[in-house]
Amino acid sequence: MTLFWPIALTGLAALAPLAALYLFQRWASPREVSSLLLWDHLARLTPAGRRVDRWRRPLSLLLECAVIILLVLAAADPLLRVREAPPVVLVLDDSFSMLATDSHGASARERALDLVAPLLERSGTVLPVVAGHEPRLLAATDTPGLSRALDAWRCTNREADLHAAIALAREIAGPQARVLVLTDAPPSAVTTGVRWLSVGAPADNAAIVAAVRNADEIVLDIANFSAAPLARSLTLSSAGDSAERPAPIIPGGQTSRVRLPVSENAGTVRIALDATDALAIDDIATLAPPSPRRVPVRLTLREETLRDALASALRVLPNATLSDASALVTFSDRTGDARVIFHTSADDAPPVGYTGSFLVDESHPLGEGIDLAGAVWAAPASLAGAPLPGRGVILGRSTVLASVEGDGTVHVALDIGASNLARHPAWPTLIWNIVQLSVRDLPGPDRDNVALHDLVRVNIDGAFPATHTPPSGTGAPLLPVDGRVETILSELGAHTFTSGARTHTVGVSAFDATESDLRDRAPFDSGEEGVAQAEALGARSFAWVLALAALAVLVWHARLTMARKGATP
Amino acid sequence: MIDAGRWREAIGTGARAAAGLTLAVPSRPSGTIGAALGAGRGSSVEFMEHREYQPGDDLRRIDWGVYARSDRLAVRTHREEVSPFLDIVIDASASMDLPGSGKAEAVISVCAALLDAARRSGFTPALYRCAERCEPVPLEGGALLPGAWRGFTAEETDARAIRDACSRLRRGGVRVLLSDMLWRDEPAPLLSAFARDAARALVLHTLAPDDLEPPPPGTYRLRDRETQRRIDVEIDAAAAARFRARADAFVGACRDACRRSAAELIPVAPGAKWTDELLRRQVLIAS
Repeated sequence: MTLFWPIALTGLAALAPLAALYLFQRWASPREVSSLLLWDHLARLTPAGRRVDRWRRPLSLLLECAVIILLVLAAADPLLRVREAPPVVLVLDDSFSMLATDSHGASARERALDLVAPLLERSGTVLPVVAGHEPRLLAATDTPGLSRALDAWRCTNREADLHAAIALAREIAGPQARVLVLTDAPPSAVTTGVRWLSVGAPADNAAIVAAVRNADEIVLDIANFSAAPLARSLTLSSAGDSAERPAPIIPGGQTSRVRLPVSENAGTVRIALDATDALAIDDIATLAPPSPRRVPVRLTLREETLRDALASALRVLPNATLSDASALVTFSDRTGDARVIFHTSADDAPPVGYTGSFLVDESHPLGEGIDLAGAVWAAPASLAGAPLPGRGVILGRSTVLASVEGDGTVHVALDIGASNLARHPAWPTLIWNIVQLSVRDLPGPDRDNVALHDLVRVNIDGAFPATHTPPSGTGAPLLPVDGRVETILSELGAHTFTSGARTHTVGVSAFDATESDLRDRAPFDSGEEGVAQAEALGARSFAWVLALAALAVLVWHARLTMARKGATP
Repeated sequence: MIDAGRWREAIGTGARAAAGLTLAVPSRPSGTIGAALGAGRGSSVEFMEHREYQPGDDLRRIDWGVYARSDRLAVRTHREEVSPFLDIVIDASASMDLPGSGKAEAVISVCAALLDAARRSGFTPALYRCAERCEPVPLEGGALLPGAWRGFTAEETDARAIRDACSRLRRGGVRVLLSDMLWRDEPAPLLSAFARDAARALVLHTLAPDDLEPPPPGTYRLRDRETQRRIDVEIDAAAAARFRARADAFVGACRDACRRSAAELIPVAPGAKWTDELLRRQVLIAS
């Protein structure tokens, strides 16, 4: 048996003054009689000076004590478990807005835990489900183990898919399970059978919501989620050095873009917004220096005209560099292990010229931005009998002029001498697209700076051991698949990926304007009636039984009292 | 303050109870020639019996018809005409008016019933109130008026008042004492004085149920209605038994005192059918 409102037991303190009343007071009912002639022999003699007497009428005292005890117990609402309580599923909002603190310094996460602690004490099995961008079930546990399990509830996600977590809860615990959602904002619609408990409160906040680091510049977007203008400063720190830069005054509800010069040689830069507000996690940005993303290209072409045209284009493109020694991509006019194969006329047969209409698949990265209007594209006449392999991306009339195979090999049919393509504006775009297809194969992460819980792909070039060292400093080995590792970075700060002699840094920051905007947070409780809640816990209240018993005792006491009353004046 | 309304209802109750009843004339009444027929011989016109002529009898009373039939001289005798007395003494101590007991109303009702019945029987009534002293209560046409009764106010039953009342009572009449007899003084001397020279002395012992039964178990602070004295008592089974024994002994003592004094003790309880008891004891008779 448990008590729903144990605080009601403080009413038992009334027993003490009641007993004292009986102890210290001669409780004699007044009664008038015709004459004391028949009563004198029954008169009680009270020793002079004694005030405390033995309890009179113990039955009255016992009845009154019984009434008090029964009423107090009824108020405490005792619950008798009649069946095994269904499990309680806790859906925990894992977004970082749950770390916002109130005026007392308590975060929404802490307030939520304090609020549900009494409820969980009366429950049996508790299934915690952490709702991030994907729901995650923590180990099912009973109440004593719950505190340990909830250590994994960090609130470091940029979003919380609560409905997916609710669906997972129903799937795991069954339709009878009680689902309790702990979050910081009211729901858009109340879900039947789910208790939605929001502990959020509207608050002002300022945050760095986006940041980009170029070679010599950092561009920040600072949002002011309050009604008043924001005038703060920024502190930049790198390799032990720090400098303060003033930020512009940002009007209330606006976002301002700030450009900060930075040295090309500066390593990872940490930027802190000087803002004492409800949420601190979004006041810091960690920006790793941009990695060079130039694909080393080797040209192995016999045709000199084609080779020169390609070299000219590659020299000016920012995503490529000519390299014979450590080329990642080989442009060749011979089949083999080249990544880009140019098909030219092998014999003296005149090429076929295509002047339009060209069909370009702009949805494919190879065809993105290609406009061949006015181009003369000459291709070998042998294409008619031996079309290019792979998926056609650029077609002239019905002939495939450029294609991509499944393994990424690019085929281009081109007689450069009979074409004006090398002088056409589409030529550098075509070469850029070809090179860009290989950028994702460059070693290291695909991005230098990401938001919290973003997926990062890291290419390992085969040198072992490869390790990932998060900001907390505990490194872990990486196990690449096909030379690549995909990981979600859930810690703020600089992450280091080491592979052989190569070291790559990825900066992780809490960039999310939706989470940083606390103005729409509000408390909410879809709630349930106390009795229904108790029944749902597998327990029944029998407070009504105690109340009826108290009433019966009261009636008995009243009859006893009335029977004692005699003729009184 | 005279509570005429209260007594009017009680008087009405008594009158209704005595409707059709008369007060029984005692066997040896005294009194001048009146409208009632006595038990003895007298000069009323109502024939009583024949007896043998004795020298000196009035010749006018010889029944010549009997002589003609039997050659025997016989004289006619007639019933006497008497005017009997009814003297009622009411103990007006405060104990007779215990609130909620109905004792006072019962006393007034019985008194009114006796006066009504006495009037029908040709009695000459008198009513005395014994409080701090004995005082006569004026009657009108032999009936008690509500405004004439001054209530039960005496702090204590005064034996001197009762003796004073006894000295005023008429010889050979019917005397009725209405009291609960909760006196500190010995009752026997008072009762002897009351019953002396009475044709019939009746003590209507008026006690309420609360006077004879203990209250439910508990602790009580009892207050004497007359003296205002207080005592604390605790009633449990044993105390209740002792009280009942004491009450029974009290009633027995009153009965004994009446018997020794040649008075008749008739219990009158409020709410009970006291007319039945008075009829049974031939105090009242159906007319």
